[in-house]
Amino acid sequence: MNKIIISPVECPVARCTKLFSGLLMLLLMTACASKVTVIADIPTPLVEKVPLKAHLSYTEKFKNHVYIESEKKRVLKSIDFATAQADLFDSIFGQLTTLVPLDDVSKDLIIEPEILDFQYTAPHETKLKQYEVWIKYRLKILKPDESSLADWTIKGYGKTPTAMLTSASRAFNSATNIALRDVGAQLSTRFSGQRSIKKLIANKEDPQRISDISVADNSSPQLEQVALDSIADVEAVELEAQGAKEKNSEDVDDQQ
Amino acid sequence: MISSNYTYSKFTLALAVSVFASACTTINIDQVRLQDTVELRQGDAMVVLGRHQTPEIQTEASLVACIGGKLQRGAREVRVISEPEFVNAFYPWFEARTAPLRPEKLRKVLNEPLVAEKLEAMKIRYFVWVEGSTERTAQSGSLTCSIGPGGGGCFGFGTWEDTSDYETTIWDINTLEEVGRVSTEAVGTSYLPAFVVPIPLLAQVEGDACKGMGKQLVRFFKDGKNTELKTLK
Repeated sequence: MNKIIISPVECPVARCTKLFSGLLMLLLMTACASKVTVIADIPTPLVEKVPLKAHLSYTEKFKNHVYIESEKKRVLKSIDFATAQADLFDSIFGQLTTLVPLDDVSKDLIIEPEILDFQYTAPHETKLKQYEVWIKYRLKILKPDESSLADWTIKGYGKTPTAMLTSASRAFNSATNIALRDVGAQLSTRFSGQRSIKKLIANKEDPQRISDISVADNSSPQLEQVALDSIADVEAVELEAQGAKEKNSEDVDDQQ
Repeated sequence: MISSNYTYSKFTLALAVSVFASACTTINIDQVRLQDTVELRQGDAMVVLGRHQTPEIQTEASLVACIGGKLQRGAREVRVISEPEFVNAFYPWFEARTAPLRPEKLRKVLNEPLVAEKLEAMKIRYFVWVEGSTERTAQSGSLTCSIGPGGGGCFGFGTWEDTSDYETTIWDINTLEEVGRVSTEAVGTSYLPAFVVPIPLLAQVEGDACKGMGKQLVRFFKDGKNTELKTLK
């Protein structure tokens, strides 16, 4: 008779589990995820160097970029990946080209990355057990006289599964690293196939050949295909679209 | 004091039951061998990789690692390279977006001299690609818990079903052809009866799928030349 029920809880098992795990996650996220500094963990790409000397130029805005969340209700207050993104571009272009200082007269091009957008989602926003990060960059490729050579847009996507007792800051660090890694992978595998870069290499190796390639660009279906696949001509698409494109191209391969 | 000891005993009992009793999983394994012989020499290496090419296809890293472990224990003469080690060593060619989906695409990747050199140096002979996931397919029941100054407890019953559906594809690097497939479907139902203390009887569906698939892959590389269809319970 003296038993007093303080808080009877009746719910389906799955909802109870979600409620408790949600409370646990909320505690963890409140404690850990407000400010995140991303530490880059990008391997050195296994790619051949192109015979070009490039200067990698970072603007002050790029070097000090910190994403500040304006929505008060969101988990993340700020994420600093300025050093991580600089490490990524240093590693990728350091492997793809020979990096030289700005005052080096023998440089063939100047690469200037610019961050256009950063977005994220946390598990409680999407009802999925994962953190997601999208990063969009613009890469200005300039000639030594600083006139424009190419202008590319590239998107990176990263997500990480939520593991029990993994802090939100670790999850954001991991998802951002995967997104940066994705950007690096696209750059490393496609850079030397870009029409403008191909022309530059051909011109450097044999200045006479450049005129022949210019003609071939307009007539050769093979080179046209390269241009269609390239990030120079087509903005890098979302992961889903990329998957569909890959599938389509394989179907085309099969038909051939 | 008596009450405290009694509660302690109940929890100990519940813990012991949940540790020693587990729900059942039914596994179906289907193997297809596309080549009569699968060569595996001392010193060869193979790599087990998960597919992650779209947001829908996100093979769990834990399962990939588990299969790798099973293969390594079952075929000690070869070295099984872990997914993170391989993907980092061959960055950027085996990332979510760039990994070849078919052996013909792998040929293009192997045209990269640095990739071909490294594969040869690491003596990698086979790629084992794992694709699929484990998902909750059904759930029902309800549980009531209450707490008061005299004590607390739960009453009710819950059940849920998890389904694993995986397919592994094996590529031979020497011939650049697919040499076999092992498909696994595992279904397990977990129970959570609660009479004062909840006693979870959990079906380890992903773990059981890994065990079944790992065992079958070892068999694939070690012996058996015919197409097999097995059902394990």
